[in-house]
Amino acid sequence: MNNDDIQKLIDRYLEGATSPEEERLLAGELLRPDLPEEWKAIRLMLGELAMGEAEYDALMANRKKSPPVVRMRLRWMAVAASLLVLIGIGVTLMPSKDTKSDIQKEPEALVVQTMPKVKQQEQDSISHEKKTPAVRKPRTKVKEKPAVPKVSTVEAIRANNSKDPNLHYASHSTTTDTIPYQAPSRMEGFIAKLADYNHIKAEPLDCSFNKKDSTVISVAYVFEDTKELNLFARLLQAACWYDTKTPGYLLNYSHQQFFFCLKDLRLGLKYLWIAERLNGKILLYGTHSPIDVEVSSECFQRYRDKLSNISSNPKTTEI
Amino acid sequence: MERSEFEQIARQLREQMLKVALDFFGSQDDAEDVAQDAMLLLWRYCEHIDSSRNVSGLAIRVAKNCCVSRYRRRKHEYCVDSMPDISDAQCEPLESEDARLLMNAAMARLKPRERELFEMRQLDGLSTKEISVQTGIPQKSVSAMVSAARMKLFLELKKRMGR
Repeated sequence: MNNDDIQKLIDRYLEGATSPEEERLLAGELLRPDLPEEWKAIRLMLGELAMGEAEYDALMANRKKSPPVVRMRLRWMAVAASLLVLIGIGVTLMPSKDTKSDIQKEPEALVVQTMPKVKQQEQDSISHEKKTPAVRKPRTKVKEKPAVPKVSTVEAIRANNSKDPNLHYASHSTTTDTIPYQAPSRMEGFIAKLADYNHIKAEPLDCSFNKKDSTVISVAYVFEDTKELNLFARLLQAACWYDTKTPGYLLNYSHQQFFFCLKDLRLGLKYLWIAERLNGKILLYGTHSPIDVEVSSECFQRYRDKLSNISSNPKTTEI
Repeated sequence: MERSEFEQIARQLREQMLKVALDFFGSQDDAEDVAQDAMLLLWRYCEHIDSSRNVSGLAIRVAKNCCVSRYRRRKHEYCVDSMPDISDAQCEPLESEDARLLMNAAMARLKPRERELFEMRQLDGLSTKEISVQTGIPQKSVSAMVSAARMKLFLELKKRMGR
């Protein structure tokens, strides 16, 4: 599309005569870097969403233009994979006296040795996870901390973490408390202890829809994003301690954000924690309120904006 | 949209966003991260989302934006790591905050109805006909109001950008 065509499209856009498809086309044309000032205004008006979408579509289209290399690679990969499968089958079927006799002698022992029996509770937990694909399972990405068993006794967890008794999420649990009831307030307590240990003050936020609703308790912490503290891994570890069957359980995380919800049906409370990496800091927001009380996310947004405006480089602010 | 309403469709939206990201990156890890970023972005703004609008379409657009953001960030990291002398402009990762403030200031000049129609077009990507059906305003009037809003914004932005 030449400059005249683009200008005609812009004129039609300003007249409100363009279709959404034409506006997407226009956004794609305005991705080029050397734009006249007037066109920059149009780009702003089309908005970040449209420009981002146009860039996405352009990148995808570019990839589709060069499929031969990918196809060739895929073809070679398919050949290599087939060969590996064939070799694997060959090796498996190759007769071996020792293995054969071992299996014949003690088939059960072999099974026990390689696959310890899974407790019924754990099996339930696994099947539950399979039923809920939207709930993200912890990935192997965070491997610094050993995985915490999802179903265990409080004592066992204590024993496992005796090295760091003061900062463990289960350290203040009582022996009378039994699993599967896992009080969500422990997560809150763990965060409070962690903040206290690191001399981080809790900033109370008013997140209630109706002003000064004392049943909605919200706080924000600003931690330093350091390797020593490794807050994301700690939060994830604490979240993984909870059984996925815990009411309201929703765990999502990325390298940038952590989002965790729980409900306490005994106390009739819902809990939410969000941690976000922001300009070398981690903003951790926690809130709990009665289950039927609506909580506003505006307060968190305002606090986040305030924080990012104070310490951010505007050029690196996210979309 | 209320949070409870959002939670009901969150899973379905996440699936859609995951697919968009998976198509783009081809990696499950990246796709999961993008879906999470996009999900949180939607959650943060869910009170501003009109539930009668095309939330699914918006989610896909947000996911595409998150893909591009991540892609740019990675490119930027590559630039910073491997080419320390490269100019900032070449590695500019995202739209500047100044531009956003400029747009917000210009938007404040619009009447509420103009703003609403402009956003239905800009954010939701709805056609004139769809806006007409949703708002009950005749198509011709929708076009005229969208045009008036765009002209106002354009002139305001030009004025401010020229300063």
